Amino acid sequence: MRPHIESGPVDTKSYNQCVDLYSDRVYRYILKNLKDADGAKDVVQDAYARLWEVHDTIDLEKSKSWLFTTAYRVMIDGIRKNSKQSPLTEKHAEPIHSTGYSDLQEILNEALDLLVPIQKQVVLLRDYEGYSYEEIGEITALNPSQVKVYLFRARKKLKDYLVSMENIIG
Amino acid sequence: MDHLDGILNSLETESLQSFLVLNPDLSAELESMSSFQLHVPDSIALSADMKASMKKEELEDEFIIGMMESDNRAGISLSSEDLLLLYEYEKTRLKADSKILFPDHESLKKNDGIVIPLWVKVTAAAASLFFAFLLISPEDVDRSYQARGPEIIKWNYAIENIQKPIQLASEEQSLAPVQTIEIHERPLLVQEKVIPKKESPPLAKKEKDTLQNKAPIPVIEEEKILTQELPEETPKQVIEEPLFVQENPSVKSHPHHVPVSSSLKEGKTASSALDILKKVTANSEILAIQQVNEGDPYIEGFLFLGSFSLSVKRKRK
Repeated sequence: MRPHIESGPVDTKSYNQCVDLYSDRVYRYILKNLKDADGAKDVVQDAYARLWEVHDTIDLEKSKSWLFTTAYRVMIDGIRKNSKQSPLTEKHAEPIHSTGYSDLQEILNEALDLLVPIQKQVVLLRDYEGYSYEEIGEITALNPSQVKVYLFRARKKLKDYLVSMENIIG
Repeated sequence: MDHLDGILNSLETESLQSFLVLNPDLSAELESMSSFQLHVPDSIALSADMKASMKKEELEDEFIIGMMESDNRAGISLSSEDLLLLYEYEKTRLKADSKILFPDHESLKKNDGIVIPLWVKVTAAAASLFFAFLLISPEDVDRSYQARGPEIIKWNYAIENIQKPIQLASEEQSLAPVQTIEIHERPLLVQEKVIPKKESPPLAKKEKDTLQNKAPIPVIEEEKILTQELPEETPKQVIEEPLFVQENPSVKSHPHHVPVSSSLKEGKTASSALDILKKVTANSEILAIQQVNEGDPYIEGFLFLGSFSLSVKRKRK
């Protein structure tokens, strides 16, 4: 269930409320992408610092979406600047399969890394935060139809991977 | 090959044909090449049924995924195959790990600060300048000292045991008539207060001798020792002149630390004023001296030595 937050400008109190409500979520989302706790922490801090800079011009109701959008862009900028990390446009390398899997989510997380990055973003935003196609589109700068297509392809890939892994494991 | 691909124009085609007439072996080879065709094996050719099947499968996936993503599934009946497919797709739904938390929420939070409007800041700055101007009135500024430029120094002294000369003054007041001179920051503004002789008990001879042998202490008045002559009719006596230079009690933080201050007068330098201070506080210990940066407009032309009390004895001829 989504936490209820009233509309209106973001003041100090509501800003701190945004920290309590969304910082863990944004952190999880970024950490899932970067797989680097320090990097994810930096991105979240940067996003909140930017929110504070413009807090008097932002509607509180939109603060969550604004935070995710900003965090996503900060993350993309960071990845682009850091040449050591693979850019999001590249496909991730085939992961080395571990010898055993504890549960379905572990396999699914591995399958997630096989997706094209934009597909991964769409799935994460959809499943982690329950965003609609329109909201995901706002965050990732896509239109709802593109979001739907990316989500469809991502689901299909994930399903095929799970089926193939089930066949391998027996 | 260009002829087979059909990209030769009419002129080139005519020249090619005339060439082939002259070379029949090449003509036969070209004919065999033109009759070659690739044959798609039946095993990999997609039949219409397969295409339809793939299309159906894709449509089914799309339908199931659409259904999975939709919140409203009411009124939709699914076959067992569709249910199985839906079940497989449901497995692809990610679950956020709620154990992963941002490590430092407090670092992100902001505190309510007191927002001072700009006009308040401007008013406060103007008021500060006004009071600074009042404190440093033009008549107090030592122009000759200003001309020397970089010796604009502020001294803060914390003097311990400064009470000693005060105690001495109190002790001697009880022995002899005392003339008190109060100096308010500027030595020129000297007020004399004569205490009647009858109010004080006579001095003992030994005490008189002790006091008479003491050398006068220099005072900050143009480096002039206060050895003023009293009128002839005044009887010969030891006079104590406690000098009170303007005190600044607000900076008096400790009973044993007496901040002293004075203004630098014309003709004085920082070092000479310091020497005077050292002389008058010979029995005391200077705990701290602080030099302020040059060019501070607030103290320009002044040497603040703090406020202090001292007794000056002088002997009538």
